[in-house]
Amino acid sequence: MENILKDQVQLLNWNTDVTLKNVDEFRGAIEKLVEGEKTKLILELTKVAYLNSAALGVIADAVLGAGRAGKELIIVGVQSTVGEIFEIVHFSALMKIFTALEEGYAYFTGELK
Amino acid sequence: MNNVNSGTYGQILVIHSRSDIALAMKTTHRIAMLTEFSDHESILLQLVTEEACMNAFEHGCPSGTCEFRISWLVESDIMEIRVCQNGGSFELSNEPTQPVKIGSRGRGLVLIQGIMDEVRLIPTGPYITLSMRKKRKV
Repeated sequence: MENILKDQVQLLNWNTDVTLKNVDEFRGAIEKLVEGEKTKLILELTKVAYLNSAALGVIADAVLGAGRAGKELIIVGVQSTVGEIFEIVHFSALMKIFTALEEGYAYFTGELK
Repeated sequence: MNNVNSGTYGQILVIHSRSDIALAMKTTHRIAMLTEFSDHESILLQLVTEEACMNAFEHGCPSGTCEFRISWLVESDIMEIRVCQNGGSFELSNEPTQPVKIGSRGRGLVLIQGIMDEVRLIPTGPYITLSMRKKRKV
């Protein structure tokens, strides 16, 4: 997985579906993202069409864990099926979700609420 | 019972291990494509399949060894997926989306109830069957 560091923001670009086969790998990548030094964290899901409930749990835990550590994890690049999955579990009540990566950066620079 | 031309398709698979769940997901995808569900619907039906099978493992196979049955029936524009397991009953919420879950677990049945049009539990003797139905969008 691509892990790109920018000045203030750490981006994890996860680019495959998450099923029971690879959810542990996904969990490890997310934990590494949250444990990093940056306080502004982005999980990009542009190339993801499928997340199982275990993956949703990993994301929820990471968002809450980041908050407790004085960080913020946001989600960008949400496509139609993942968007519907997020709606069902009301993820927008737990975290900021944006369609495009640029919107995530704009949120962290204060240009977008 | 597999007659796609007449609008009816049925299949049964017996699950013995977690690795069989991937096969069940592929089967859902294949049947969804054969019966003209959209790609979007197929992905969500695969998710329902994974979650229902994982739920069967967690509630019906405490020792780790397991055997349960998943079946598919498509009639006209409705797909019914049934997961039948031995014992290990569980509850379906009448309000599956409330309250918002903040922990790491407990979203599987929420997803199933949010995606499918009709979800019900059918107890039959020592068995419990989770029946899930979804109508194909035009």
